[in-house]
Amino acid sequence: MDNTDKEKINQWSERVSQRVDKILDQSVERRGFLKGLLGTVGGAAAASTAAGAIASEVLPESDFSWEKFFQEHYKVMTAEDKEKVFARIETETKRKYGVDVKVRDPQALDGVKFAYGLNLSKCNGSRMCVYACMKENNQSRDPQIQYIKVIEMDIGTLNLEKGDMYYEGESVPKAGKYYLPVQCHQCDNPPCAKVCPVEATWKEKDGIVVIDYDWCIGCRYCMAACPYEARRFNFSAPKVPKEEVNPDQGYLSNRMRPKGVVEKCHFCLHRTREGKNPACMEACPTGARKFGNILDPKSEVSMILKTKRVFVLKEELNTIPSFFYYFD
Amino acid sequence: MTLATMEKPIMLVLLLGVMTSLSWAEPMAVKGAIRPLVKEAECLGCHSKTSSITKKKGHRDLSSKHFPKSGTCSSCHLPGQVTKLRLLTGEPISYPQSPILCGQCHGLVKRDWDHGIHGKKMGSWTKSGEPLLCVQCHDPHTPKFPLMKALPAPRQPQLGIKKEESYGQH
Repeated sequence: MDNTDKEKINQWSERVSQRVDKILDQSVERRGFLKGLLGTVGGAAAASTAAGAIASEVLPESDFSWEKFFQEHYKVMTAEDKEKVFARIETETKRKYGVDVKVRDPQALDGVKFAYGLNLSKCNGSRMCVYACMKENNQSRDPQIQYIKVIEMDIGTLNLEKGDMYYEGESVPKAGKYYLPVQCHQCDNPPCAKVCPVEATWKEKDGIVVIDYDWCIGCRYCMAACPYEARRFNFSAPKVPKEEVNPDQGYLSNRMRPKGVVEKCHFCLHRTREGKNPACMEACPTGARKFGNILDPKSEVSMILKTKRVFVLKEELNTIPSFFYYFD
Repeated sequence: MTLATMEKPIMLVLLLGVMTSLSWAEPMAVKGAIRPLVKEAECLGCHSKTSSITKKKGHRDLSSKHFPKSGTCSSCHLPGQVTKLRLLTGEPISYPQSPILCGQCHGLVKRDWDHGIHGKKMGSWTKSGEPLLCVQCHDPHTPKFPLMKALPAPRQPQLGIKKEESYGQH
Protein backbone atom coordinates (compact mmCIF):
# COMPACT_ATOMS: atom_id res chain seq x y z
CA MET A 1 0.00 0.00 0.00
CA ASP A 2 1.62 3.24 -1.07
CA ASN A 3 0.93 6.76 0.04
CA THR A 4 -1.69 7.62 -2.57
CA ASP A 5 -3.73 4.59 -1.57
CA LYS A 6 -3.61 5.65 2.04
CA GLU A 7 -4.75 9.13 1.12
CA LYS A 8 -7.62 7.76 -0.92
CA ILE A 9 -8.79 5.60 1.96
CA ASN A 10 -8.56 8.52 4.34
CA GLN A 11 -10.59 10.75 2.06
CA TRP A 12 -13.18 8.06 1.58
CA SER A 13 -13.59 7.35 5.26
CA GLU A 14 -13.76 11.06 6.00
CA ARG A 15 -16.56 11.51 3.47
CA VAL A 16 -18.57 8.56 4.71
CA SER A 17 -18.20 9.52 8.33
CA GLN A 18 -19.45 13.02 7.56
CA ARG A 19 -22.52 11.56 5.98
CA VAL A 20 -23.07 9.19 8.90
CA ASP A 21 -22.66 12.12 11.26
CA LYS A 22 -25.51 13.90 9.59
CA ILE A 23 -27.80 10.90 9.93
CA LEU A 24 -26.90 10.03 13.50
CA ASP A 25 -26.36 13.46 14.96
CA GLN A 26 -28.60 12.74 17.97
CA SER A 27 -26.66 9.73 19.29
CA VAL A 28 -23.07 10.38 20.22
CA GLU A 29 -22.45 6.83 21.33
CA ARG A 30 -23.54 5.17 18.12
CA ARG A 31 -21.69 7.65 15.98
CA GLY A 32 -18.46 7.02 17.78
CA PHE A 33 -18.86 3.32 17.38
CA LEU A 34 -19.62 3.52 13.65
CA LYS A 35 -16.71 5.82 13.03
CA GLY A 36 -14.50 3.36 14.82
CA LEU A 37 -15.76 0.57 12.61
CA LEU A 38 -15.09 2.64 9.50
CA GLY A 39 -11.59 3.18 10.72
CA THR A 40 -10.93 -0.52 11.04
CA VAL A 41 -12.58 -1.29 7.70
CA GLY A 42 -10.59 1.43 6.00
CA GLY A 43 -7.34 -0.40 6.56
CA ALA A 44 -4.73 -0.79 9.21
CA ALA A 45 -2.91 2.42 8.32
CA ALA A 46 -6.04 4.50 8.37
CA ALA A 47 -7.26 2.80 11.53
CA SER A 48 -4.48 4.09 13.71
CA THR A 49 -5.07 7.72 12.78
CA ALA A 50 -8.84 7.44 12.76
CA ALA A 51 -8.99 5.68 16.12
CA GLY A 52 -6.78 8.33 17.66
CA ALA A 53 -9.02 11.07 16.40
CA ILE A 54 -12.12 9.25 17.60
CA ALA A 55 -10.70 8.63 21.04
CA SER A 56 -10.05 12.30 21.66
CA GLU A 57 -13.27 13.38 20.05
CA VAL A 58 -15.75 10.91 21.41
CA LEU A 59 -14.50 9.66 24.78
CA PRO A 60 -15.35 12.67 26.93
CA GLU A 61 -18.99 12.23 25.99
CA SER A 62 -19.70 8.54 25.69
CA ASP A 63 -19.30 5.33 27.61
CA PHE A 64 -17.60 3.62 24.75
CA SER A 65 -13.89 2.90 24.72
CA TRP A 66 -11.77 0.42 22.82
CA GLU A 67 -10.18 -0.85 26.04
CA LYS A 68 -13.59 -1.74 27.39
CA PHE A 69 -14.67 -3.24 24.08
CA PHE A 70 -11.71 -5.60 23.97
CA GLN A 71 -11.55 -6.26 27.72
CA GLU A 72 -11.02 -9.89 28.71
CA HIS A 73 -13.21 -11.88 31.07
CA TYR A 74 -12.31 -11.25 34.70
CA LYS A 75 -11.03 -14.76 35.20
CA VAL A 76 -8.48 -14.61 32.39
CA MET A 77 -7.26 -11.09 33.08
CA THR A 78 -3.68 -10.84 34.27
CA ALA A 79 -2.67 -8.54 37.10
CA GLU A 80 -1.45 -5.96 34.57
CA ASP A 81 -4.71 -6.09 32.64
CA LYS A 82 -6.58 -5.55 35.86
CA GLU A 83 -4.49 -2.51 36.74
CA LYS A 84 -5.35 -0.99 33.38
CA VAL A 85 -9.03 -1.77 33.81
CA PHE A 86 -9.10 -0.27 37.30
CA ALA A 87 -7.41 2.87 36.00
CA ARG A 88 -9.98 3.13 33.22
CA ILE A 89 -12.86 2.73 35.67
CA GLU A 90 -11.36 5.36 37.94
CA THR A 91 -11.10 7.90 35.13
CA GLU A 92 -14.62 7.07 33.95
CA THR A 93 -15.99 7.57 37.45
CA LYS A 94 -14.08 10.84 37.74
CA ARG A 95 -15.60 12.00 34.48
CA LYS A 96 -19.15 10.97 35.27
CA TYR A 97 -19.38 11.75 38.99
CA GLY A 98 -16.45 14.08 39.57
CA VAL A 99 -15.13 11.95 42.42
CA ASP A 100 -11.67 10.46 42.89
CA VAL A 101 -12.19 6.81 43.70
CA LYS A 102 -9.90 3.87 44.28
CA VAL A 103 -10.89 0.61 42.65
CA ARG A 104 -9.41 -2.51 44.20
CA ASP A 105 -9.88 -6.21 43.82
CA PRO A 106 -9.55 -7.99 47.17
CA GLN A 107 -9.18 -11.73 46.71
CA ALA A 108 -11.00 -14.46 48.60
CA LEU A 109 -9.26 -15.52 51.81
CA ASP A 110 -8.05 -19.07 52.29
CA GLY A 111 -9.98 -21.22 54.73
CA VAL A 112 -12.89 -18.82 54.82
CA LYS A 113 -16.47 -19.47 53.81
CA PHE A 114 -18.81 -16.66 54.67
CA ALA A 115 -22.21 -17.21 56.20
CA TYR A 116 -24.83 -14.92 57.60
CA GLY A 117 -27.13 -15.45 60.56
CA LEU A 118 -30.19 -13.31 61.15
CA ASN A 119 -32.11 -13.35 64.40
CA LEU A 120 -35.75 -12.73 63.54
CA SER A 121 -36.62 -12.31 67.22
CA LYS A 122 -34.30 -9.32 67.40
CA CYS A 123 -34.88 -7.65 64.04
CA ASN A 124 -37.12 -4.64 64.65
CA GLY A 125 -37.67 -3.60 61.05
CA SER A 126 -35.98 -0.21 61.36
CA ARG A 127 -34.44 -0.51 57.87
CA MET A 128 -31.08 0.79 59.11
CA CYS A 129 -29.39 -2.01 57.17
CA VAL A 130 -31.14 -1.07 53.94
CA TYR A 131 -29.83 2.47 53.96
CA ALA A 132 -26.36 1.59 55.20
CA CYS A 133 -26.10 -0.86 52.30
CA MET A 134 -27.31 1.77 49.87
CA LYS A 135 -24.59 4.18 50.95
CA GLU A 136 -21.80 1.65 51.13
CA ASN A 137 -22.50 0.10 47.77
CA ASN A 138 -23.21 3.24 45.72
CA GLN A 139 -26.68 2.10 44.82
CA SER A 140 -28.70 4.29 42.52
CA ARG A 141 -30.86 6.77 44.43
CA ASP A 142 -33.08 7.48 41.44
CA PRO A 143 -34.34 5.09 40.17
CA GLN A 144 -34.06 3.61 43.61
CA ILE A 145 -32.14 0.36 44.03
CA GLN A 146 -31.92 -1.42 47.37
CA TYR A 147 -30.35 -4.83 47.88
CA ILE A 148 -32.22 -5.59 51.11
CA LYS A 149 -35.97 -5.99 51.28
CA VAL A 150 -37.46 -5.97 54.75
CA ILE A 151 -40.75 -7.84 54.69
CA GLU A 152 -43.28 -7.24 57.43
CA MET A 153 -45.22 -10.36 58.30
CA ASP A 154 -47.78 -11.51 60.82
CA ILE A 155 -46.38 -13.45 63.73
CA GLY A 156 -46.91 -17.15 63.22
CA THR A 157 -46.89 -17.05 59.43
CA LEU A 158 -44.15 -17.57 56.88
CA ASN A 159 -45.99 -16.87 53.66
CA LEU A 160 -43.80 -14.46 51.74
CA GLU A 161 -46.65 -13.53 49.42
CA LYS A 162 -48.66 -12.17 52.34
CA GLY A 163 -45.78 -10.02 53.53
CA ASP A 164 -45.58 -6.26 53.06
CA MET A 165 -42.26 -4.71 52.04
CA TYR A 166 -43.67 -1.18 51.71
CA TYR A 167 -44.68 -0.79 55.35
CA GLU A 168 -44.18 2.55 57.07
CA GLY A 169 -43.48 2.53 60.78
CA GLU A 170 -43.48 5.38 63.28
CA SER A 171 -42.65 2.92 66.03
CA VAL A 172 -41.37 -0.48 65.06
CA PRO A 173 -41.64 -3.36 65.81
CA LYS A 174 -45.40 -3.19 65.55
CA ALA A 175 -47.46 -5.45 67.77
CA GLY A 176 -48.21 -8.80 66.15
CA LYS A 177 -45.65 -8.35 63.36
CA TYR A 178 -42.18 -9.61 62.69
CA TYR A 179 -39.68 -8.48 60.09
CA LEU A 180 -37.89 -10.66 57.59
CA PRO A 181 -35.00 -8.99 55.77
CA VAL A 182 -34.19 -10.69 52.48
CA GLN A 183 -31.05 -10.14 50.44
CA CYS A 184 -28.82 -12.33 48.29
CA HIS A 185 -28.41 -15.69 50.03
CA GLN A 186 -25.10 -16.51 48.31
CA CYS A 187 -26.36 -20.01 47.51
CA ASP A 188 -23.95 -22.90 47.23
CA ASN A 189 -26.02 -24.14 44.30
CA PRO A 190 -26.80 -20.81 42.69
CA PRO A 191 -29.53 -20.93 40.04
CA CYS A 192 -28.58 -17.42 38.91
CA ALA A 193 -25.02 -18.38 38.04
CA LYS A 194 -26.19 -21.47 36.17
CA VAL A 195 -28.42 -19.60 33.77
CA CYS A 196 -26.01 -16.81 32.87
CA PRO A 197 -25.30 -17.24 29.14
CA VAL A 198 -21.99 -15.35 29.25
CA GLU A 199 -20.62 -16.38 32.65
CA ALA A 200 -20.76 -12.85 33.94
CA THR A 201 -21.77 -14.15 37.37
CA TRP A 202 -20.13 -16.96 39.29
CA LYS A 203 -19.42 -18.27 42.77
CA GLU A 204 -16.12 -17.44 44.40
CA LYS A 205 -14.35 -19.87 46.70
CA ASP A 206 -15.34 -17.98 49.85
CA GLY A 207 -18.98 -18.51 48.94
CA ILE A 208 -19.81 -15.09 47.49
CA VAL A 209 -21.66 -15.00 44.18
CA VAL A 210 -20.19 -12.09 42.24
CA ILE A 211 -21.02 -10.21 39.04
CA ASP A 212 -18.60 -8.72 36.53
CA TYR A 213 -20.51 -5.60 35.51
CA ASP A 214 -18.36 -5.17 32.41
CA TRP A 215 -19.22 -8.64 31.21
CA CYS A 216 -22.94 -8.59 32.00
CA ILE A 217 -25.09 -8.22 28.89
CA GLY A 218 -28.25 -7.36 30.81
CA CYS A 219 -30.37 -10.31 29.67
CA ARG A 220 -31.83 -10.64 33.19
CA TYR A 221 -32.04 -14.45 33.05
CA CYS A 222 -30.48 -14.50 36.52
CA MET A 223 -33.24 -12.30 37.88
CA ALA A 224 -35.81 -14.74 36.64
CA ALA A 225 -33.86 -17.67 38.06
CA CYS A 226 -33.32 -16.27 41.56
CA PRO A 227 -36.04 -17.57 43.89
CA TYR A 228 -35.29 -14.85 46.46
CA GLU A 229 -35.69 -11.88 44.11
CA ALA A 230 -32.31 -10.70 45.26
CA ARG A 231 -31.08 -9.24 41.99
CA ARG A 232 -31.67 -5.71 40.75
CA PHE A 233 -31.42 -4.30 37.25
CA ASN A 234 -30.20 -0.84 36.25
CA PHE A 235 -32.99 0.15 33.90
CA SER A 236 -31.39 3.57 33.50
CA ALA A 237 -28.03 5.02 34.40
CA PRO A 238 -27.68 5.00 38.20
CA LYS A 239 -27.78 8.41 39.84
CA VAL A 240 -25.70 8.92 42.98
CA PRO A 241 -25.08 12.39 44.42
CA LYS A 242 -21.42 13.36 44.13
CA GLU A 243 -20.94 13.80 47.86
CA GLU A 244 -22.45 10.41 48.66
CA VAL A 245 -20.21 8.32 46.41
CA ASN A 246 -18.20 5.84 48.45
CA PRO A 247 -14.64 6.15 47.09
CA ASP A 248 -13.51 2.76 48.46
CA GLN A 249 -14.60 0.51 45.62
CA GLY A 250 -14.14 -3.10 44.63
CA TYR A 251 -14.18 -4.28 41.04
CA LEU A 252 -16.64 -7.10 41.75
CA SER A 253 -18.58 -5.26 44.42
CA ASN A 254 -19.48 -1.62 44.79
CA ARG A 255 -17.87 0.23 41.90
CA MET A 256 -20.19 2.44 39.88
CA ARG A 257 -22.43 0.37 37.65
CA PRO A 258 -23.29 1.31 34.09
CA LYS A 259 -26.81 1.28 32.71
CA GLY A 260 -28.18 -2.09 31.70
CA VAL A 261 -26.43 -4.45 34.11
CA VAL A 262 -27.63 -6.59 37.00
CA GLU A 263 -26.38 -6.06 40.54
CA LYS A 264 -26.99 -7.59 43.96
CA CYS A 265 -25.69 -8.06 47.48
CA HIS A 266 -22.12 -9.41 47.62
CA PHE A 267 -21.67 -9.49 51.42
CA CYS A 268 -19.65 -6.26 51.00
CA LEU A 269 -16.71 -8.29 49.76
CA HIS A 270 -14.41 -5.27 49.56
CA ARG A 271 -14.89 -4.93 53.34
CA THR A 272 -15.34 -8.51 54.51
CA ARG A 273 -12.35 -9.91 52.65
CA GLU A 274 -10.29 -7.46 54.67
CA GLY A 275 -11.80 -8.52 57.96
CA LYS A 276 -14.36 -5.77 58.37
CA ASN A 277 -18.04 -6.29 59.00
CA PRO A 278 -20.51 -5.92 56.17
CA ALA A 279 -22.22 -2.53 56.22
CA CYS A 280 -25.68 -3.92 57.03
CA MET A 281 -24.39 -5.73 60.10
CA GLU A 282 -22.48 -2.67 61.24
CA ALA A 283 -25.63 -0.58 61.00
CA CYS A 284 -28.03 -2.99 62.69
CA PRO A 285 -29.19 -1.30 65.92
CA THR A 286 -30.37 -4.51 67.59
CA GLY A 287 -27.55 -6.92 66.87
CA ALA A 288 -29.85 -9.20 64.92
CA ARG A 289 -27.30 -9.70 62.17
CA LYS A 290 -24.35 -12.05 62.62
CA PHE A 291 -21.68 -12.63 60.04
CA GLY A 292 -18.59 -14.77 60.00
CA ASN A 293 -16.57 -17.70 58.80
CA ILE A 294 -18.53 -20.93 58.90
CA LEU A 295 -15.34 -23.02 58.65
CA ASP A 296 -14.15 -21.65 61.99
CA PRO A 297 -15.93 -23.79 64.61
CA LYS A 298 -15.73 -21.03 67.21
CA SER A 299 -17.06 -18.22 65.06
CA GLU A 300 -20.39 -16.62 65.89
CA VAL A 301 -22.22 -18.11 62.91
CA SER A 302 -20.91 -21.59 63.71
CA MET A 303 -22.12 -21.25 67.28
CA ILE A 304 -25.50 -20.11 65.99
CA LEU A 305 -25.78 -23.15 63.71
CA LYS A 306 -24.90 -25.41 66.61
CA THR A 307 -27.09 -23.91 69.30
CA LYS A 308 -30.08 -22.33 67.53
CA ARG A 309 -32.79 -23.82 65.39
CA VAL A 310 -31.93 -22.19 62.11
CA PHE A 311 -33.82 -22.36 58.85
CA VAL A 312 -33.30 -21.16 55.31
CA LEU A 313 -35.86 -19.72 52.94
CA LYS A 314 -37.30 -22.02 50.27
CA GLU A 315 -35.22 -24.97 51.37
CA GLU A 316 -37.16 -27.25 49.01
CA LEU A 317 -35.51 -25.61 45.99
CA ASN A 318 -32.12 -27.05 46.95
CA THR A 319 -30.31 -23.77 46.48
CA ILE A 320 -28.32 -24.35 49.71
CA PRO A 321 -28.16 -20.74 50.90
CA SER A 322 -25.41 -19.36 53.14
CA PHE A 323 -27.97 -17.14 54.83
CA PHE A 324 -29.61 -18.55 57.95
CA TYR A 325 -32.59 -17.26 59.88
CA TYR A 326 -33.43 -18.17 63.44
CA PHE A 327 -35.66 -17.26 66.33
CA ASP A 328 -34.55 -17.46 69.91
CA MET B 1 -15.48 -12.66 77.84
CA THR B 2 -13.66 -13.82 80.90
CA LEU B 3 -13.02 -12.03 84.15
CA ALA B 4 -9.42 -11.48 83.25
CA THR B 5 -10.18 -9.48 80.13
CA MET B 6 -12.80 -7.44 81.86
CA GLU B 7 -10.33 -6.12 84.36
CA LYS B 8 -8.97 -3.81 81.74
CA PRO B 9 -11.54 -1.05 81.71
CA ILE B 10 -9.06 1.44 80.34
CA MET B 11 -8.22 -0.76 77.39
CA LEU B 12 -11.91 -1.22 76.78
CA VAL B 13 -12.68 2.47 76.80
CA LEU B 14 -9.75 3.08 74.48
CA LEU B 15 -10.91 0.37 72.14
CA LEU B 16 -14.42 1.72 72.05
CA GLY B 17 -13.08 5.17 71.36
CA VAL B 18 -11.09 3.87 68.42
CA MET B 19 -13.98 1.87 67.08
CA THR B 20 -16.47 4.69 67.22
CA SER B 21 -14.05 7.12 65.64
CA LEU B 22 -13.49 5.00 62.54
CA SER B 23 -15.37 6.62 59.74
CA TRP B 24 -15.59 3.62 57.41
CA ALA B 25 -17.73 1.80 59.88
CA GLU B 26 -20.59 4.17 58.99
CA PRO B 27 -22.44 3.29 62.16
CA MET B 28 -23.94 6.74 62.52
CA ALA B 29 -27.34 5.38 63.24
CA VAL B 30 -25.89 2.93 65.70
CA LYS B 31 -23.56 5.45 67.27
CA GLY B 32 -26.55 7.31 68.62
CA ALA B 33 -28.03 4.10 69.95
CA ILE B 34 -24.90 3.00 71.80
CA ARG B 35 -25.12 4.20 75.35
CA PRO B 36 -21.97 5.69 76.84
CA LEU B 37 -20.43 3.85 79.75
CA VAL B 38 -20.67 5.60 83.09
CA LYS B 39 -17.38 7.16 84.06
CA GLU B 40 -16.23 7.25 87.67
CA ALA B 41 -15.67 10.97 87.44
CA GLU B 42 -19.36 11.47 86.70
CA CYS B 43 -20.31 9.78 89.96
CA LEU B 44 -17.64 11.52 91.94
CA GLY B 45 -18.80 14.91 90.70
CA CYS B 46 -21.63 14.74 93.23
CA HIS B 47 -20.89 11.79 95.50
CA SER B 48 -17.87 11.24 97.62
CA LYS B 49 -16.38 7.82 97.17
CA THR B 50 -17.94 6.45 100.29
CA SER B 51 -21.34 8.13 100.17
CA SER B 52 -24.42 6.03 99.67
CA ILE B 53 -26.65 6.17 96.61
CA THR B 54 -30.12 7.51 97.14
CA LYS B 55 -32.95 8.42 94.86
CA LYS B 56 -33.39 11.76 96.56
CA LYS B 57 -31.71 14.40 94.39
CA GLY B 58 -29.90 13.65 91.18
CA HIS B 59 -31.53 10.35 90.40
CA ARG B 60 -35.05 11.40 91.28
CA ASP B 61 -36.31 11.20 87.72
CA LEU B 62 -34.83 7.78 87.30
CA SER B 63 -37.63 5.53 86.16
CA SER B 64 -37.16 1.85 86.50
CA LYS B 65 -39.02 -1.13 85.23
CA HIS B 66 -36.28 -3.25 86.79
CA PHE B 67 -37.25 -2.46 90.38
CA PRO B 68 -38.96 -2.71 92.78
CA LYS B 69 -40.28 -5.80 90.98
CA SER B 70 -36.86 -7.37 90.62
CA GLY B 71 -35.00 -5.73 93.44
CA THR B 72 -34.01 -2.47 95.06
CA CYS B 73 -31.13 -0.09 94.35
CA SER B 74 -28.85 -2.03 96.59
CA SER B 75 -29.52 -5.29 94.75
CA CYS B 76 -27.04 -4.12 92.16
CA HIS B 77 -25.35 -1.00 93.60
CA LEU B 78 -22.98 -1.40 96.50
CA PRO B 79 -24.19 0.84 99.34
CA GLY B 80 -21.53 3.19 100.54
CA GLN B 81 -19.45 3.00 97.36
CA VAL B 82 -20.82 4.76 94.33
CA THR B 83 -18.25 3.43 91.90
CA LYS B 84 -18.96 -0.20 92.65
CA LEU B 85 -21.68 -2.71 91.90
CA ARG B 86 -22.30 -5.86 93.81
CA LEU B 87 -23.26 -9.39 92.98
CA LEU B 88 -25.98 -11.27 94.82
CA THR B 89 -23.25 -12.86 96.90
CA GLY B 90 -22.22 -9.42 98.11
CA GLU B 91 -18.97 -9.48 96.22
CA PRO B 92 -18.17 -5.99 94.90
CA ILE B 93 -17.41 -5.59 91.18
CA SER B 94 -16.53 -2.60 89.07
CA TYR B 95 -18.77 -1.09 86.40
CA PRO B 96 -17.02 -2.65 83.36
CA GLN B 97 -17.66 -6.08 84.90
CA SER B 98 -21.41 -5.52 84.91
CA PRO B 99 -22.26 -8.40 82.48
CA ILE B 100 -21.56 -10.83 85.31
CA LEU B 101 -24.14 -9.01 87.36
CA CYS B 102 -26.73 -9.18 84.58
CA GLY B 103 -25.92 -12.83 83.97
CA GLN B 104 -26.99 -13.77 87.49
CA CYS B 105 -30.62 -13.62 86.39
CA HIS B 106 -30.32 -13.63 82.58
CA GLY B 107 -28.09 -16.68 82.40
CA LEU B 108 -29.16 -17.94 78.98
CA VAL B 109 -28.69 -14.55 77.39
CA LYS B 110 -25.33 -14.19 79.10
CA ARG B 111 -24.28 -17.56 77.69
CA ASP B 112 -25.26 -16.43 74.19
CA TRP B 113 -23.42 -13.17 74.74
CA ASP B 114 -20.29 -15.05 75.78
CA HIS B 115 -20.35 -16.86 72.44
CA GLY B 116 -21.12 -13.69 70.50
CA ILE B 117 -24.62 -14.84 69.55
CA HIS B 118 -26.43 -12.19 71.55
CA GLY B 119 -25.24 -8.63 71.31
CA LYS B 120 -23.12 -6.78 68.85
CA LYS B 121 -19.48 -6.43 67.96
CA MET B 122 -18.41 -3.47 65.90
CA GLY B 123 -15.69 -3.36 63.31
CA SER B 124 -14.61 -6.84 62.39
CA TRP B 125 -16.05 -10.33 61.97
CA THR B 126 -12.72 -11.88 62.93
CA LYS B 127 -12.13 -12.78 66.55
CA SER B 128 -10.43 -9.53 67.43
CA GLY B 129 -12.50 -6.73 68.88
CA GLU B 130 -14.57 -6.47 72.02
CA PRO B 131 -18.33 -6.90 72.03
CA LEU B 132 -20.51 -4.16 73.42
CA LEU B 133 -21.50 -4.59 77.07
CA CYS B 134 -25.11 -5.21 78.12
CA VAL B 135 -25.52 -1.66 79.35
CA GLN B 136 -24.31 -0.14 76.10
CA CYS B 137 -27.53 -1.21 74.39
CA HIS B 138 -29.95 -1.74 77.27
CA ASP B 139 -30.69 0.91 79.86
CA PRO B 140 -30.03 -1.09 83.06
CA HIS B 141 -32.95 0.61 84.77
CA THR B 142 -35.37 0.13 81.86
CA PRO B 143 -33.85 -2.74 79.93
CA LYS B 144 -36.48 -3.24 77.25
CA PHE B 145 -35.14 -2.16 73.88
CA PRO B 146 -36.96 1.04 72.85
CA LEU B 147 -39.23 1.23 69.82
CA MET B 148 -37.73 2.96 66.81
CA LYS B 149 -38.88 4.89 63.81
CA ALA B 150 -38.44 2.91 60.62
CA LEU B 151 -36.58 4.57 57.76
CA PRO B 152 -38.71 5.32 54.68
CA ALA B 153 -40.14 2.48 52.63
CA PRO B 154 -38.74 1.73 49.20
CA ARG B 155 -40.44 3.52 46.35
CA GLN B 156 -43.13 1.58 44.57
CA PRO B 157 -41.96 0.66 41.08
CA GLN B 158 -43.32 2.97 38.42
CA LEU B 159 -45.02 1.01 35.73
CA GLY B 160 -45.63 2.21 32.22
CA ILE B 161 -42.64 4.48 31.65
CA LYS B 162 -42.83 5.98 28.16
CA LYS B 163 -40.29 4.83 25.64
CA GLU B 164 -38.89 8.29 24.95
CA GLU B 165 -38.24 8.88 28.64
CA SER B 166 -36.31 5.70 29.18
CA TYR B 167 -34.27 6.15 26.02
CA GLY B 168 -33.38 9.70 26.95
CA GLN B 169 -31.33 8.63 29.98
CA HIS B 170 -28.06 7.45 28.56
